[in-house]
Amino acid sequence: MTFKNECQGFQLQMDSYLDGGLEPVQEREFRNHMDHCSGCAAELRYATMLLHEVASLPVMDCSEQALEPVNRLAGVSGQGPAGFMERLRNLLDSVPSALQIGAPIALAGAMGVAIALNAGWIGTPDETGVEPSLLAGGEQYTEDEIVQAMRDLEVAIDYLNAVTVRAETIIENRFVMELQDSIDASLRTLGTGDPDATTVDGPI
Amino acid sequence: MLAKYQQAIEQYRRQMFSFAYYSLRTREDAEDVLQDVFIRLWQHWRRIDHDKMGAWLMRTTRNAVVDHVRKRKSSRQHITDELIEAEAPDVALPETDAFRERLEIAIRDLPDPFRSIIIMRDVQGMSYLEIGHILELSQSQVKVYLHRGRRRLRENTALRQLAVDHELIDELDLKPAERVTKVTP
Repeated sequence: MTFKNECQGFQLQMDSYLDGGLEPVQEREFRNHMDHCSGCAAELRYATMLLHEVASLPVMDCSEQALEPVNRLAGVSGQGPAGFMERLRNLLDSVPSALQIGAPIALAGAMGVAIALNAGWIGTPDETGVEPSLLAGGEQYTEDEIVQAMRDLEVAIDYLNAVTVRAETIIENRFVMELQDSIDASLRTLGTGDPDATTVDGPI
Repeated sequence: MLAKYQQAIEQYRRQMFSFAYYSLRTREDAEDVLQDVFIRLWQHWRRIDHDKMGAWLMRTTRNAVVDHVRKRKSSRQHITDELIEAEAPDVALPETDAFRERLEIAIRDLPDPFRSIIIMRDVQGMSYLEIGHILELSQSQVKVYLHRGRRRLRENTALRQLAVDHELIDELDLKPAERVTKVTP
């Protein structure tokens, strides 16, 4: 081995030496070389000084202004981080606006049609396309019929409320969680292993 | 729950901010990154393993820094920063301060993961195991990257020049040892 290669070998061991990671025999050889090679000894002094300077860099702290989001979040909600509605809102924020508006309208429309069909509010229209009962005057309904209609309406409203609660549960269990899991799985497939991980694999 | 959220931020914010600051070297950028992480913590609170909160926060901070560096590289801001640095007049800083300033720039300019590992290990004193958890690397990989990162730092020409000019080290060669092994008879 030439002198240059010998120096290079020892300089490659420098960090292990500084970390105390050399075997006793290697460490003895390393020290011996440093005693006899002024170039490598200067490199070792420089490496030691650099390590000391890096370790001396102070711990930094952010300004109070940087904590503003924390204070704002704490002020806005006393319910704690990321409740269901908040997570749903975050998810919806990431969905295109056309879908954000269109999906609830379509869902509400579908529910309305289903309820109307179930309650028999939509029947076979006559030639005018309008229910005969809707064309009739108020005199045709008795008081009992009106009371019964009000009761039916209350039942329908209760049913609608129950459907809303159920829809929320279904959205959370089947839609939000599955979609989130799917996003997480996609991110993991990209090799990051973390939902918040960057997609960058190599050195930046 | 809210108290725990604030407590987590109080506990880890210095560690996170120091990491972001030495990675980016501007307070404004580091605070932007930190705010982003605070919001992510809020959004993901229920899905985080709270026993590994520190690792999650540092990993998220590191990822936010990487994203920030990537965005800055493609913007005019980076060019402006470099111009300001290049044209900055030589202020009569004490020798050690000038060297420290150049050292911080050299650390910032290291590519990742060398930069992250140097900051976590040599500035913040984290263990190989902790760094491995954060960066999802084995301990031996962390060690290899650390040694390569330190070597790159030692080979930084501007830093060596400053050390020689200020006579911080005697007999230091401006050119570091050859990297490529040349077998000679």
